[in-house]
Amino acid sequence: MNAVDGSSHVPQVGFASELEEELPSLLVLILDTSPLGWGAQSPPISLHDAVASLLIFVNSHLALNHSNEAAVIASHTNCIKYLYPVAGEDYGASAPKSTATSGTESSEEMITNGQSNGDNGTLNDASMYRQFRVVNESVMKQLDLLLLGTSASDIEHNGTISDTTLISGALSTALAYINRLVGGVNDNGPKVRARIMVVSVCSDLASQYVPIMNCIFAAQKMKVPIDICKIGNDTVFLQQAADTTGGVYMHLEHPRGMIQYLMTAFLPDRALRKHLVIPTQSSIDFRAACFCHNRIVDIGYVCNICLSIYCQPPADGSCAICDTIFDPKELADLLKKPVVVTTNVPKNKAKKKKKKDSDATPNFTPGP
Amino acid sequence: MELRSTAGGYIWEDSIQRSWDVVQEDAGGSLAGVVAELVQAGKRKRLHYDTTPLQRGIIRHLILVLDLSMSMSEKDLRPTRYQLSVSYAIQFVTDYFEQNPISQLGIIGMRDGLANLVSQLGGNPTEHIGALQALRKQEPSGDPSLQNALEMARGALYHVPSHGTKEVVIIFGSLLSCDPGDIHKTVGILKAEHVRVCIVGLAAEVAICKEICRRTNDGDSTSTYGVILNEQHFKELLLASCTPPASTKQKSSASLGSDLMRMGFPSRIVETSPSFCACHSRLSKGGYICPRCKVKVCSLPTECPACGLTLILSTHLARSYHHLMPLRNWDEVDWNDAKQASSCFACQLPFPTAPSSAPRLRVSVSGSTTNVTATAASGIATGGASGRFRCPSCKQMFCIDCDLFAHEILHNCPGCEAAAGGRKLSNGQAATEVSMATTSAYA
Repeated sequence: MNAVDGSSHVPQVGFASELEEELPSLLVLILDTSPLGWGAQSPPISLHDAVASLLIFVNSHLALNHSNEAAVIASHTNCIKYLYPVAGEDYGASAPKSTATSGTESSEEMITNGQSNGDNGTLNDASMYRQFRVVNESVMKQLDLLLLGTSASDIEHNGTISDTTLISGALSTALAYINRLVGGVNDNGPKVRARIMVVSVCSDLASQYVPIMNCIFAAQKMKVPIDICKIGNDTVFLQQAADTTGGVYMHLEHPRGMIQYLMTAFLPDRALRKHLVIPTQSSIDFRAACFCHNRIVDIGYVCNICLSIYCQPPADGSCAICDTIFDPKELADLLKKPVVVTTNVPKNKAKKKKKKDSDATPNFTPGP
Repeated sequence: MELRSTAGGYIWEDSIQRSWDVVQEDAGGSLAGVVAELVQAGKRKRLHYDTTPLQRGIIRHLILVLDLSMSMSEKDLRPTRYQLSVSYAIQFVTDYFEQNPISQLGIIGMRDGLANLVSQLGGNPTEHIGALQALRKQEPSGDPSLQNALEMARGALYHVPSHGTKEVVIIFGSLLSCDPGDIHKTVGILKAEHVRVCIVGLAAEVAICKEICRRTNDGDSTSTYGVILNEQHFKELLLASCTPPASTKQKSSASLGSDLMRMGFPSRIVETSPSFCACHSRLSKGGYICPRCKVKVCSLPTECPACGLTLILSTHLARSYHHLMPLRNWDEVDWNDAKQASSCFACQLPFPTAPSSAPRLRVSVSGSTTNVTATAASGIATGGASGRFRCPSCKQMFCIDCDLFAHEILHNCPGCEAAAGGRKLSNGQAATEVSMATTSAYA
């Protein structure tokens, strides 16, 4: 049904369902709706503008293939919420339903009205392509409910407004949804290819490190790339997520032009990316920071019980996290310094310091 | 296997149980409902995980010993025991390096009374898989020799530093072992060197295998020696060795096993012109630079070929965190509480509604087999078959597919992650998580 000309009688190389390009694609969009995060971005771009750009992006994704599917999840400060599809809603209804808060309109009125009333921004255009309208209405309505339902106590933490967002919860939920839709892999391979896209404005949360890493490894196992569209400060965890799963990481320098970033870098799906050169950030810093001083280390010492990293062996000989006592002999081995031998001094005055370490070369000047 | 039945006599004295009577057609003549119930029962059986956070050996050195003797050409496993073992061994190698990225693996084969080295102890999965593919073309022959294989494994594991585990996994399809000397002495030496042996038997239980497993694992032979019932069970037993083993207390104070290891964390470079890598002497335009000797290597994790420093990324360490902090089991919800949620929290699948007085199949799980008995319910639905599972921390309900996914692949509870304040952990675990986070997020 995607063929517009009569060339389908021409024999093709393989069956359409076997080519990855022909498989429908599922896009799960995770939108970070942290109020403080978006408030900080407000001069160049507001949440309203971003959602408008994202809806265009989702519509374009749906337009690329008739069987493409999409899902939108909002990651809020204290909960996550499916914006589309919502459980219990029936999207097969033929009559357009009104989502205007000013009351229900009859279908005749909506058809005669044409465009929606611009006050509350709902899209009641009955001439819009139905798939697009269903997604747009659901996202706008659920987002309104979510933001109106947020009270001050929800976003405050210990008296200050917290810049948190539950990205690990949203990623876990997205992966579970993908697992259900892709699920049962039969002999011909999966019927749907999935990918996740994250729009994020907040910085990293240290307490979410382990759950995010678990999500990254699960996505890698399921071959789901995670694309990141970052507005604001750079984050390390999400950079590693994009790199490990083979996704695209873009840090938006000019957020007002968001729609252009979305359409060029994020719209092509997995099969097309093999044929395109997609802009992404390739310099990723994988170095670790030590636990004791938060210094960046190139060579660190790792406790083999709890896998925590130190910049130098701890002074008291025990691991601060798991309280295991290290073997003092091994610690002494690690602390050895190389020998300094000078050859221009007569032998009876040569001083030998500690024993030579096996991986250090002695520091001597060769004689003439 | 138990010889005494529950009725007091021997199990062969009980009345005949026709296991095929389970499958009965329903009123419409279709078997779809029965098949679905059987699939559900199979899924439920897999849901019992051991979730105590134990101290585990994360840096592992494992030797896989394959039986390449004449008894492996039996055709009771399709296509032959030999071919299936090699296929499962390839899958084992892939899974092992996925779960334990900083560990090493070696492969030994037992053929004609000798032990052959199939693949050296190393950390690169492609080498091992290549060696196993080459094994496929050979034919099994001769008798196996357990002592020779164990001696060769012991030699390969001799130089392993004390902070790593030493393990041997044997796939044994014969009923005998042709040894040149006293195997009990060898087992004694293995025990003295803290080598742990695990055996998967394909034919029947062999006394010497049980003895080896018992002596090297501090008396525990039930979880280390298993004899397969079918192909699925074979795969389960073999892949169970991919999980890091729990540390035992039987280590002398000299080799506590708790060590500080020096490791390098290289950064990636992208070059404009190609240069050679030190590990394969191949030209490439990028790679990782060893922080100590500044030599370029092409892939991680690896040991620097120039200075011997172990080079890893912090993501490789992160892969093992879920072993140290496993996800708790979820409780099955019965129909009384089932009305609280109408759809799964994670994937939005609508839950089945409570049934009325139609007869249902009651599924009971007992031990290692599953009995599906057809009983007509009296109109009151009982038992935990509501298809909902609840996490004890966040009290959200999930469907069975999400339960399996969360426990086997994801190791996160979506409900706990989606609640403000995160998982409810003990203080020690929370501190561990925060410190792990700060070590990997640079200022």
